[in-house]
Amino acid sequence: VLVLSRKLNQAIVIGDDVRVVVVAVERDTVKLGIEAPRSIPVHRSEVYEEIQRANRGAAAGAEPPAGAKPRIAPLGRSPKPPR
Amino acid sequence: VAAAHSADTVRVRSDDDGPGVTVELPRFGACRYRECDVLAFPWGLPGFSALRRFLPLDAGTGDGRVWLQSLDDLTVLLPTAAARHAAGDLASLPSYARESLALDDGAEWVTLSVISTEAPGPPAPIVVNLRTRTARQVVLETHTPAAERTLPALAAGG
Repeated sequence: VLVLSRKLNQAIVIGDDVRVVVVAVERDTVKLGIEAPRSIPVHRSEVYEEIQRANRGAAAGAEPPAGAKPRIAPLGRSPKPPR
Repeated sequence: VAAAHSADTVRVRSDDDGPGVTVELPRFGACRYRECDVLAFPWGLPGFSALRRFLPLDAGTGDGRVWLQSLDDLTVLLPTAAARHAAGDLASLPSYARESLALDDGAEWVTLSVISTEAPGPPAPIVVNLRTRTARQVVLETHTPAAERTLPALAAGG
């Protein structure tokens, strides 16, 4: 793991496109500002890991009905009312 | 026919009687599909980052459930619930999702919500562009328009 020390308003740059700035330091909390292309998702790690767990759990418990004959789901050809 | 699949996990046979392929699925048995049925996940899925191609399957139960069947690893099957959206709902998605999936005002899109036995977490629908058949799971927990507006200010301030 690369460990860097930064002060308030200092930044690190990741690749050409991502810049992480220390915006505020309050007791045991550090606020980070992240400048990145809009195509790059940025998530808190615990949130992302929660989604990973949920997906793996869903796959582990997937039990389709016995004897079901699958067909391609008509995602765009059987419209339901818009939300 | 099997070029897009991992040779050690997928059993695929080509058919002589028309377009498409038939794949033998561990949970469903034989399933016939065409290339245009496949949903592409160029960024993978959280927890399954290496899996890029899925089939959306209907088991015929009439409950709106869509089973996402991986074509890269046939043992991976995800139960989801589908919902269609009006074009105006696009604003509810973070910009990275709209841009990476090329969703514009005229886009046809649906979301698939993973049905998990785990404790409910932040909303993270799988967003599907129906025109390009490209999909991505979008974590909405950190998305607020206010949060995105702060970024240009930071950039200007250096």
